[in-house]
Amino acid sequence: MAQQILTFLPEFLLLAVLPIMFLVQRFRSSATPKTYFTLSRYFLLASLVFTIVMYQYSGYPEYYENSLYTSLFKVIIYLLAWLWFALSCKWFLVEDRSSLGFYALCLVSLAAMSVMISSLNLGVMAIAWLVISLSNYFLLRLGLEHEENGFVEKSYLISILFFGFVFVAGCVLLWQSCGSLSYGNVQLSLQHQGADNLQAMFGVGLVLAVMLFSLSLAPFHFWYLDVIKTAILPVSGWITLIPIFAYFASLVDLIVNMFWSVYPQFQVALIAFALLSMLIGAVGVNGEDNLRRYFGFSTVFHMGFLLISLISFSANSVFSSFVYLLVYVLSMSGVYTSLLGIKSKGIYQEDLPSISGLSKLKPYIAAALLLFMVSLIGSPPMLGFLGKLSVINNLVLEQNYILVAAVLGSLILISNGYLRLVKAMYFEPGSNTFDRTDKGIYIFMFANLVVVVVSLLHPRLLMNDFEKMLITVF
Amino acid sequence: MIESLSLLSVIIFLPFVGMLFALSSKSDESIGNHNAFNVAVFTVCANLVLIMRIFYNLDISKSGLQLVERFNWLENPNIDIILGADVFSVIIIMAVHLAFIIGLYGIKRQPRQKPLVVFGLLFLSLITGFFLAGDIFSFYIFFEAMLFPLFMLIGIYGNIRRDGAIYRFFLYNFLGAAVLFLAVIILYNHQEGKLAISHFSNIKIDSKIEYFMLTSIFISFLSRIPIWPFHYWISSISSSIRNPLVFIITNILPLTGIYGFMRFLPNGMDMLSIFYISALEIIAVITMVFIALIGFTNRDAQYKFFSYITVYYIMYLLALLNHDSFTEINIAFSCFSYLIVIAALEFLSDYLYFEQEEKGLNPDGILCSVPRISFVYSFFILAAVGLPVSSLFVNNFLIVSNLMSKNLNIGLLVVVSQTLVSGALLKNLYRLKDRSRLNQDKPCIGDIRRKTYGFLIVIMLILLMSSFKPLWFLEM
Repeated sequence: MAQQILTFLPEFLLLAVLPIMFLVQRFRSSATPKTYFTLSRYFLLASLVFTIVMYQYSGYPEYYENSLYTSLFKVIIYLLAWLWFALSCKWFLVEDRSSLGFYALCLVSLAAMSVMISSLNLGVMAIAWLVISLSNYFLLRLGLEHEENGFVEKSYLISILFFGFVFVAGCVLLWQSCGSLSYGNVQLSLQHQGADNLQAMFGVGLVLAVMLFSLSLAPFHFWYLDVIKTAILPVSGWITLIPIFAYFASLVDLIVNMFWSVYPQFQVALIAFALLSMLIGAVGVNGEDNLRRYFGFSTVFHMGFLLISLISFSANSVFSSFVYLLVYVLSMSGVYTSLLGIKSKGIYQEDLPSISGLSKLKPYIAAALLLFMVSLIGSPPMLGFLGKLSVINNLVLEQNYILVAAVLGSLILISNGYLRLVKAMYFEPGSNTFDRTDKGIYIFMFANLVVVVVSLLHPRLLMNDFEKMLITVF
Repeated sequence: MIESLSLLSVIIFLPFVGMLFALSSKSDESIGNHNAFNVAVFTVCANLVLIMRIFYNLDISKSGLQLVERFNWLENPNIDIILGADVFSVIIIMAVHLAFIIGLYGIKRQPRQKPLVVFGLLFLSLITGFFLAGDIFSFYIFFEAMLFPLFMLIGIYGNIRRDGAIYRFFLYNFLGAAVLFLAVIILYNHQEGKLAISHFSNIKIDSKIEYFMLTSIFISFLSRIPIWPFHYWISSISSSIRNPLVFIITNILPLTGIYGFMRFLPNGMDMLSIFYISALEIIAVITMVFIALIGFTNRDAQYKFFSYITVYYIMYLLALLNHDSFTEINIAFSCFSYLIVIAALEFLSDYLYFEQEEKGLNPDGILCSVPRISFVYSFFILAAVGLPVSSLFVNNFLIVSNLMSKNLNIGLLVVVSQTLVSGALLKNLYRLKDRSRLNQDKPCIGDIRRKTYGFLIVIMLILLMSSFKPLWFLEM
C-alpha cells in the first residue's frame, strides 16, 4: 500500500507546494514573484528526482503505469517547465505583478500532465485532460484586463466544455461497446469486434478529435491562435511549449496500445488534418503581422508536420516525430525567450513592423531569433535539420512520396513566411527604440543555442537513449 | 605532429571560430576600430597556410579522395560524415580563399563591416566544407547551409529590396536544395547508407529512381548557375551589388552548381542521361550566347562583368559534361585564376565606382591620371580575356580544344561568346583609358594607396606564376 502511494509522490509534490504558496501569500508581506518561483522550483526539482527514482514503479497498474516511455516525457516536461518558470519570473518582476496564480496553475497542470502521460484508463485520462484544459483557461484569465478579450475567454471556455463533453461521450460509447475503459480491455475488444462496431468506431473518433483539438491541429486550431495572442506572454509560452509533450505522449500511447486494430480506418482522416494544418499554418505565417499569432500559425504548421511523421505509428515514425517535436520545442522556446527580450518603452513588442531594424539595436537577440527561425525551417546547419531529416527519411522508408512532396512544398511556403521576420529584423530600416534587456534573457538564449549546437554536432549523445526509451511504449 | 591533425576539419572550423571571434569583437569603423576585419584577415591567412599544408600532404598523381576523415554522426538513420580532398577541390578552396581576401581588402574602408565579416566567414567555412564533402549527406548539408549566410549578405548589402530578386534567389535555391535533399535520402536508402561521393557517378539504379535522380540533380544544380530559367536572380543581384566581398561570394555560388554536376553526373550514358545532357547543352549554349551579346552591347560595366562571369561558368559546365579527368583538372587550374581575376576586377571596379560617385565624374578616361590602378586594372583585364599572364591562357585553350574535339558547334559558340565578353571588357578598358574623352576641368580620382598596390602586385605575381606552372608553390 505504501509503495502504491509512493508512486504518486511526484504528482503529490507538485500539488503539495500549493498550500505553502497560499500560506506565504497570507502571512508574508513582501512575497515577490521570485518567492513563488523559488518554491515552485524546489518542488519541481523534487518531483523530477522522484520521477527518475520511480521510473518503473506502478501503484495501480490498471489505471496508471510508469515506464521508461512515460518517464522520458515527464522528465522533459519538468525540465522545460523549470526553464519556463525561470523566464516567466523575469516577466513578472518587470511587470511587477503577482505570480502566485501563474505558478500555482502551472503546477496543477503539470501534475495532471504527469497523470495523463502515465494513465492506462480512458476515464483517468479524460479527467487529467479536463484539469489541464481548465488550468489553461484560468491561466488565460490572468491577463485579461481588456473587455474585448472577454470574448476569447468565453469562446475558449465553451471550446473546452464542448470538447470535454466530446471526450466523455467518446468514453461512454467505448465503455458501452467494450465494457471497460482500460487500455488493455478496449484494445482486446476492438480487436475482436473490428471496424464493424460503429458505436465503438464513433467513440474512437471522438477521443481522437479531442487529441487533435489539444494539439491545435486544423480544423480544431481556432482556439489556439486567439488564446496565445490574448494571454500574457508567460502563459502563451507555457501553452505553446509544455502541454504538447503530454498530448503527444498520450496520443501515441492511445493509438499504439488501444486503438491499433481500428487505426487504419482513421489514418486517411489524420493525414488530411495534418496536411490541412500545414497548409493553414504556412499560409497564416505568410499573412500574419502579429508576432504571437505568427508563431501560433507556425505551431499549427509544425503540429501538422509532426502528425505526418507520426502517421504510421511505427517505432521509426514515433522516434522521428519525437526528434522533430524536441527540435521544435527547443527552437520555439528560443523564440519565446527572444520575445521576452524585445521591449520598447516598457511594452513588449508584438507586431512585425515594430521589430524593424532590430538587428542594429539588439544584434544578439536578432541573431538568436534568426538562428531559431533557421532551425524551424529545418535548414542545416541548425538542429531543425535533424528533425526534418528524421521525418523525411521515415516517410521515404514508408514510400509515402506524395506526403514527402507535400511536406517539402509546405516547408518552402512557410520558409517564405519566416523570411518576412528576417527581412524586418535585418533588411528594413527601423525607427523603434528598444529597452535594455535583462542579462538572464541573454543567458537563457545562449544556453538554448549551446544545447542546439551540441545536439547537432553530437546527436548520438542523447538520441540513442531516447530511442531505447521510446520503444518501450510498444 | 601536423599530419596527425584532422586538417580538413580544421580548415572548415577555423573560419567558423573566426566568425565567433568577429561576432564577439567590438568593431566601430568610424573611429578606426577594425577588429572584426582584422580577425577575418587573420583567419583567412591562417587557413591559407593550412591549405598549403594539405597540398603538401596530397599525392597529386593519385585520383580520388585523399586524407579522408570520417565521423559517425547519427545512428538512426545511420549517417557517417566523411571529408576528403583531391587536387581539384583543394585548388578551388585555395582560389576561394584568395578571392575572399581580395574581397576583404575591398571592404576595408566601408562601414558596417561586422555583419559582413561574420556572414562572410560563415560562408567561407561552409563552402570549404562543401568542397571537402566526401559523402552525399555532408555534400547536401553544406550545399544548403551556405545559402543562409549568402541570403543574409545579399539582403543586407544587396540594395535589391524592391525588385523581388531576393525572393527569387530564395525560391530557386531552396527549391533546388529541397529537391536535392529528397534525392539524397532516396539514394541513401537505396544504397543502404553507404555512398561515398566519389562513387556516385558509377552506381547502378533502376530506371524510375534514375529518372527522379537526374531530374533532381539538374534542378538543384542548375538553380545555382546563371542559366535560363534560373539566371534572373543572379544577374539582378550581380548588377546591383556595390560591395566587392558580397559580389565575390555571390559569384562563387555558381561554382557549387558546376562542382555538383561534376560529382553527380552519371558515368554511363543511357538514353535518359543523353536526353538530359543534350537538353542542358542546348539551354546552356543559348543562354551563353544571349548573355554574351547583351554584355557586349550593354554600357553598364557591372553587367559586362556579369556576362563575362556567366560565359566562363557555362563553358566550364559544358566541358564537364564530357566527363573527362583531363578536362576536369584543366578546369580546376583555369578556375584558380578565374576566381582571383574576377575578385580583383570587382575590387578595382568598386573602387573606381565609389571614386566616381564621390567626385561626380563619368568613367571616360578616368584611368589616365592614376598610373597604379591603371596598371593593375589593365593587367587583370588582360588576364581575364585570356592573354598569357595567368593559367587561364593555357588551360582555357585546352578546355576549348577539348570541347571542339567532342562537338565542334558547341566549341565554336563558346569561342564566339568568349570573344564577345572579352571584347566587352576591352571596350570598357579602352573607355576608361581614353585620354581624349577626359574632362580636364573636373578633378581626378585618387589613385590606390601603395599598400593596396603592393597587395595587388602580389596577386598578379601569383597569377603569373600559375601561367607557367599551376602548382608552382609545391616546389618552393
